[in-house]
Amino acid sequence: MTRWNLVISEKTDRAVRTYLARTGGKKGDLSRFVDEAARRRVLDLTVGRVKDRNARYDQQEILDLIDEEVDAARADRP
Amino acid sequence: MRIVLDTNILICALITKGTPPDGLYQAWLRGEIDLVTSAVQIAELANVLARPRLQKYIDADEAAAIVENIEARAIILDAPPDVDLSPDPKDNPILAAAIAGKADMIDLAMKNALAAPSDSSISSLWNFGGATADVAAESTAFGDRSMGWMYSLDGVWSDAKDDAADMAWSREGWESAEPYGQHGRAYLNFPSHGEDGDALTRASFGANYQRLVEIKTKYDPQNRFRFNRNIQPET
Repeated sequence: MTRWNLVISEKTDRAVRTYLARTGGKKGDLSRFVDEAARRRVLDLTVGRVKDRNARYDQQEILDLIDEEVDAARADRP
Repeated sequence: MRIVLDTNILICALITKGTPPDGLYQAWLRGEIDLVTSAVQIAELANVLARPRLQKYIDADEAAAIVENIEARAIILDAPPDVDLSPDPKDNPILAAAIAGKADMIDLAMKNALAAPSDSSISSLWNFGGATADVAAESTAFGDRSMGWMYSLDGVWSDAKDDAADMAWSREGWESAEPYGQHGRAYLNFPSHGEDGDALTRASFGANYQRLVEIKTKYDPQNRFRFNRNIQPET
């Protein structure tokens, strides 16, 4: 675990704390909320960027390559 | 609805655009489905994404970001049970995740298969999408093609003394799958029990039904062609 010092708007602070209070929030829930939101955002932005970049390629070629590579990875598995 | 994707479909969902697996990813983002996976599958995901031929489509940092953060959205099963159900043993970890994660349709299809009174009966999931979904609903009589999957329940038996048990299995299996259907539709080449009047026919042709009635009325007003799922002329 590490510690973040963040500056956020009062509006965001109020919205998140109100949501957590309404859903029975306990100590540590704010950190968990931020942690999960940040990880989702990293995942979504990464996937979105990869998809946008790959849109210029023939999608069927990518699908076929993935099939081949999954088969190859499973063939290598003991 | 909970779903489990085989690893090739999962990777397609994560790195392609405009494909049927991308459609699943978008549904996942909208919260319409929950993705269930396992630690074993995430290890396989990392392994495949690191293979050299895929680097053209996803670099090492992007692959690491996806593998490390997928659990922020997905339901991860740490230790699914050992199962030995697939003819291909390498598919067993995916089936194990589906069973342990109670992936709705796979769970249902397997339960129905195991409950079949006859060894000849079949409970199967078929993949749609791809080129079949490229044709607009109004272009053919078939209608809407946006469904991703078809569930087929085939009651097959040879001895009349088994009629009651096998028909009950078919009816109960049909009812168990109805909540997962798409607007009450069915693939009409698999004719179902014929116990629902014309409601299933109307639902399956959807917006095309009235056009088909008009064609039927024009070319076959006496309803000479009336086998199975009949569209009645207006006369």
